[in-house]
Amino acid sequence: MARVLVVDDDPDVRQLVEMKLRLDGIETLTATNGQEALDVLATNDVDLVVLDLMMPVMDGIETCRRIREAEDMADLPVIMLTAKAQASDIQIGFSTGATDYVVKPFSPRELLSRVRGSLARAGVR
Amino acid sequence: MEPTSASPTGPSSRPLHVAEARSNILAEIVTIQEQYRQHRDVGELWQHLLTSVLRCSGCEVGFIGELVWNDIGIPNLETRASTVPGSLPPDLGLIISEVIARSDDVMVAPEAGAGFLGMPLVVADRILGVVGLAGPPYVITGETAEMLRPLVGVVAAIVESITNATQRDAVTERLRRNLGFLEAVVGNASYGVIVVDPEGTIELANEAALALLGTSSQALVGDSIGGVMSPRAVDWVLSQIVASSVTDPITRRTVQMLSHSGIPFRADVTVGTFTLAEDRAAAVLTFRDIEAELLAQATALRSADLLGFTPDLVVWSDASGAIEFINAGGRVLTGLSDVDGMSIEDLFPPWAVERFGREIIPELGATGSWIGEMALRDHGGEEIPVSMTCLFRHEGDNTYYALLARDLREHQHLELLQHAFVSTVSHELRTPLTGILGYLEMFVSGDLGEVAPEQKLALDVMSRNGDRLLELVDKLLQVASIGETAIRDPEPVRIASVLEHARASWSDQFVGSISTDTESVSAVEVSGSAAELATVFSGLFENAVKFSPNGGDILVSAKVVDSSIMIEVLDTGIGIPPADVDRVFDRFFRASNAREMESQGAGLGLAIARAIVRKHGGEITVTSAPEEGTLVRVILPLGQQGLTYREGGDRNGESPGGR
Repeated sequence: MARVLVVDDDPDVRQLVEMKLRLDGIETLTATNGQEALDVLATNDVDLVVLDLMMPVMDGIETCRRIREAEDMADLPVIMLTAKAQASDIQIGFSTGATDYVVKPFSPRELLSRVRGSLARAGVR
Repeated sequence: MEPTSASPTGPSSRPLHVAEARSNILAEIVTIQEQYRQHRDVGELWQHLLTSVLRCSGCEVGFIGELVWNDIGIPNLETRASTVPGSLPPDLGLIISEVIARSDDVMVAPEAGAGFLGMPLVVADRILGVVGLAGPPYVITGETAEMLRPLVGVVAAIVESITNATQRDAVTERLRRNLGFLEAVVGNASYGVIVVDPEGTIELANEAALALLGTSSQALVGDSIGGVMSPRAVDWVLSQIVASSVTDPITRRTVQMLSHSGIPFRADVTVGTFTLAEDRAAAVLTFRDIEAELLAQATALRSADLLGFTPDLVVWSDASGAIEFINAGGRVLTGLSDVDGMSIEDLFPPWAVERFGREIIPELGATGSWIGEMALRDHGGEEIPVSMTCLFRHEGDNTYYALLARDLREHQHLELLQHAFVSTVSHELRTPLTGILGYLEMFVSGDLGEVAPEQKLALDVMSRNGDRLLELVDKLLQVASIGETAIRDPEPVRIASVLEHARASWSDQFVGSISTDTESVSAVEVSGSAAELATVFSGLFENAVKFSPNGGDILVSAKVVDSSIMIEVLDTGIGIPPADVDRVFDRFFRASNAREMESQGAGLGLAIARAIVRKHGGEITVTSAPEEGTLVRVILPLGQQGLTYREGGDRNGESPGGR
């Protein structure tokens, strides 16, 4: 079973993503900010991270960078999920190593299909 | 007794009888008076006078001299007639000096040798000259002077007349020349000259006065000066004539004068006085029209005053760029208090100096003006972004450069704030929409349980409206960017691919067909923002689709025209009523037939499109016929021309190299 870490400071968004993923049989873990996310990743095996950009304590960009720097997580798929929709933001997102970029408000169906796609590419069922 | 004619002097003199002498003198007096009346030559007259005196005295040697005073009051005796060639013998000279000093007769009668007699020529206690005689002792006796006195008296009177006549001639000549000079000066003067008598009647006026007053000599001369100036001014003029009563005469004033046609004008008037004949004084006025001068002064003062109040920088320099003037606003902006020795280029940071020379100077040479965004440098070296107008004026002596600059920092700051605000707000709005739309989708798709038909209906409405909200949030960001005048980080954009993308997005949603003809422009690029240009054409396609509810054909074409690319979007839809066509670019405006259609829309599409097109240096136009269709034409400059972009660094504050 695939396991996905959902990182967002907004509980409603967390709950929405969790529900959709769970309905499709994906196990979920959550974190409310980047630091928490790194803590969870340190003690759990995770197949993919859905990562919000705008969070307190540590934001998504920094978190993504840290993930990429960690040897054991360098290939971990990261899907950025954010309301920041401008081209420049998207560019920055990809340049820090995000695997994909989904703009809020998103279609849960679409997000699910992107998650499945990234998981498949990473060889996770 | 009948006067006998003059008897010639004999080779030897002899004493005369007193009576004989007396009758001789009377005869002589008559004779010389006659000669004086008839004389033509003054020199000859002097000779006659001397001859008469010699004849009457019986002397053979004598002379007449006239006393002439030089400029410093020292008298000099000038010989007018003499029997002694050359200068006088020293003895005679001494006697003459004595005569002049004493203003009295002096006689020297030695027992042997010649005797001398000198007699002054006196009229009304004024000594005019001297008669000197020399002769044997029996001729020069103690009675000789007395005997000669009547004759000498007449001679003196005649000498006075001669002197007066000579002086009068000289004065007349001088007067004539002076008069000629004055006439020339007054006649040719550019200012008006008028002479008034003590009653204020105009006696004389020069050409310039007639011209300034718009009248003729006949009309003006003889009239009162009150016809051309106010009573108060007339009083002032006439009071100068009795200047002896004025201790501190004001001889120059600005006076309101009146021309013949009733037009008042302010004049610079001077008053002088002089004496007419019979001790009557007169006033001479000079005046010139200073209306133009006063207006120019007032305008200059007003301009200087206003320049002092604008916060914008105003600077001008001579033809070499040396600064001649900087206004108060300019000093505040640049922090400069002293611009001595500074040139215009000193106001710019180095990269702007380069741009000034490379780009602005040529433009000034060609058209005389340049407008754009530049930067100044303040005294601390900091850059100040400015909106600047540069002028070059070349009119002979009046050649100068001028700079007008407005501080853009606040504007830019506000733009940034607005951008940040809108960004934040749209972000904030998107977050709750995420929750609403996300769950709605799951609801509708049955993830949350079976959905009854009534429920589905409700959910569909909710979804639709949620989508609309989202669309508005997107548009919000775009509308806010309408105020921006510059493109950040422009890049090359292929129009053909932008059009292709838009077509691809919209053809699924259109019942009719969308065809694009972009073959001829497949490689053509404009400089700007790909995302924004995509917004433009997406918006145009959206309109074409929305307003062609019955399908039809939407034709999109693009071609290069001169140094621009022209894109046309033509639909066969409902068109725009003529009354609304001019307003379609207004924000929130929706044409009457669009509203009738009950189609959704905020009326922002064309407003946004035009703002973006203009930001890219282009223009957008709309033509339409109701029920037939609408043509939207977009023209964009190729390459980098026409683009407004900010010089002076990117958002990180680094200075650019080159542009």
